[in-house]
Amino acid sequence: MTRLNARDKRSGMLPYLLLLPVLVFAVIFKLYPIFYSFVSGFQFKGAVSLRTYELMFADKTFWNSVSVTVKMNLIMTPLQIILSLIMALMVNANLKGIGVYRSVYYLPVTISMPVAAICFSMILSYNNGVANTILGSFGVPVQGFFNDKTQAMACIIALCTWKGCGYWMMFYLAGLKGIDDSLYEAATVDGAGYFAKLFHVTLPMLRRTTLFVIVADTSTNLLLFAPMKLITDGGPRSTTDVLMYEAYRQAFKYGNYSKGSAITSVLIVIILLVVLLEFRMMADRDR
Amino acid sequence: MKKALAIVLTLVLVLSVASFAAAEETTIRVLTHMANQINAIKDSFEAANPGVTVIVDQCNYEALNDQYEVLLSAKSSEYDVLVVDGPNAAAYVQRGYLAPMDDYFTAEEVAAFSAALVNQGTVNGSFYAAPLGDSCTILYYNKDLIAESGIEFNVDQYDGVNTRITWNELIDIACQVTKALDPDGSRGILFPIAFGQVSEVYMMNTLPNSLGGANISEDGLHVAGVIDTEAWYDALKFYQDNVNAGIFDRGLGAFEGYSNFYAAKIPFIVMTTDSYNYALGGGMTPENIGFTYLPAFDGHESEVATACGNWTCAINAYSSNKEAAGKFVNWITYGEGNDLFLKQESMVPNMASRFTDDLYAVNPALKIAAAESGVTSVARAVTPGFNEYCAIMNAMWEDVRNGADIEDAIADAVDQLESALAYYAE
Repeated sequence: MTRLNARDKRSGMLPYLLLLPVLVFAVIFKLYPIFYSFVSGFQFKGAVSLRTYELMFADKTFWNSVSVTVKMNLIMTPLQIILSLIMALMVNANLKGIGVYRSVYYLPVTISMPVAAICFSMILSYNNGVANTILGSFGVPVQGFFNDKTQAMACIIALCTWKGCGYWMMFYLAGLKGIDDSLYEAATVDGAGYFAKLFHVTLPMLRRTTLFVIVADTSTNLLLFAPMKLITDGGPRSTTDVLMYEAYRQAFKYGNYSKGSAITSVLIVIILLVVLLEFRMMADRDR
Repeated sequence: MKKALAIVLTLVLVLSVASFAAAEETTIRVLTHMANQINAIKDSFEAANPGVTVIVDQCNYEALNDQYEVLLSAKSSEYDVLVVDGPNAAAYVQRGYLAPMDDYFTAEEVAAFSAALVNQGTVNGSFYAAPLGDSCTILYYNKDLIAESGIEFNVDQYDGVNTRITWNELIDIACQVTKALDPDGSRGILFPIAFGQVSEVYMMNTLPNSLGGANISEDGLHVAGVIDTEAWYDALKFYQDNVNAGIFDRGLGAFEGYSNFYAAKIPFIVMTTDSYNYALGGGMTPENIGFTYLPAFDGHESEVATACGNWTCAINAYSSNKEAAGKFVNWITYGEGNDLFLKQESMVPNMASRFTDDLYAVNPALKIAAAESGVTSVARAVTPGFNEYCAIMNAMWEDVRNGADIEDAIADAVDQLESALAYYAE
């Protein structure tokens, strides 16, 4: 009996032991930097102070970055989720050769963001981009794209949506595959059409997948940085100067680590609030 | 017993000598965007300084400042010698990144450098950044394209001191040349005139400077009342009008104009004097590279301003090889290493005595630099927030190029810079 208990105890410890390496890495490379960032934000020229936050909240550039980040995410996240769902519904069809379409839709995910950003900046170049050449052949005047303050953000959203949708599509596809066919059969017997089945069977059954996609996509988009760094430098007229890029600029271009940390801390708080809100909304629906 | 003792003592002696010899070996590491040029001459330093090995690491020009911020804020001692853009020296000293070099340069040696370059590298009376060279902006043109167009363009009439071409004259000629060469646009001439370092304060600020505008307040902490003045509005309007008219380049990034000029896609371009050698490397020949003094604005001929300042060599404050690093910095900036370096990089010399016929033979454009140096040259903004100044002002120039309302663009830049520089005011 005693021997069995000891074995039970040992086997009970096993999952924790197996999780330990991941936990250690998470603490060192995720939690510690977040903690360090919060602490650094409360420093000003080496002394503990709220002055960094005072200066940051009085800075129009910071508020512009907050506004740009929020606006971008209000458009990009719903757009990506809806498109991913539509793509998943399309490639979920039982057709011959559908695997080819799945691969093609997923292909942009396999390209790294810097490569994708450089390709887009070449395609949408003001002087010799393919896009302007094609538009020009239809008599459309030359477009600024990344150089135009009214188009730059739309171009970045297009780039990230093109690159990201295939990834989220795969989660939806997995969710769709998990829905029992008998539910659709029952709905068909009840006389439900395609859209009735979509709204009353598919979407409710995809609630957990949707929650994951919303939370993961929101945090990914709030931390978006590479296209701004590689293409627009936050411009034109600061229309693509998101919080993440502003934090990078403060820390690594201006050498002001306290302000960079303070901006990062604000960003983390925003992400936590948004994710909590999303969980709350989904939980309310569950009830 | 005696034998054993003798062997032990001999071994101790050998080991001591070996360790002493090993201790004498010093390796210094240099971080720069000009590794090829420094690698080509470092053997000479190593030969003159036995026991010192120099390793030079290349870093992309655009990433160099970011690299320094990452390395030095972490107090890294990986690099001993840092090649630093001159105006950044003051900010780096303030952050504790650079070591003073007063022990490695005598007062006479420092005094031999051009005064503006010494000022740039001196903070609170200590010398921190020794100039590798200076720079100068001039107007280049493609002689073959001008000849082919049949338009007369005689630069011999300009002496730079009393006479030089004006912007309006240049625009008129450049448009005629472009129209003659490429009347229907099928040849692919991109623009009549380009700025090599477009949307960068180094080159673009010479426009408001040439109308009497300053770069920053005397204390280096304010731009309100400095860049929101008539000289700046006029310069930006002049620039934007000519971009909109398709005369100045649009859509090209900084340095993209260079390759297009070498490829005969742009007949006139503003570049630095060291670009002469890059043009040769880009396929042009001494016979088809033309150059003259930077244009002046009509009615402001006496106020014309050219850009100056350049890269400096400094010692990492966290280096454990400061002595050897100091020797190297002295050698490559003041000593014979600088003569070798100038032949490689073709910068404007850092002292008057280095303007020699030998140097002009390598780069005849330096004759213009010699004439402009100290006469029309205007230093970049002297401020501890130079990185912030560059980022925000570069963005302003780019926004104006892309059609932003000039008053709004200036007002935004003033707001952003006043906020950013407030950090240094405390």
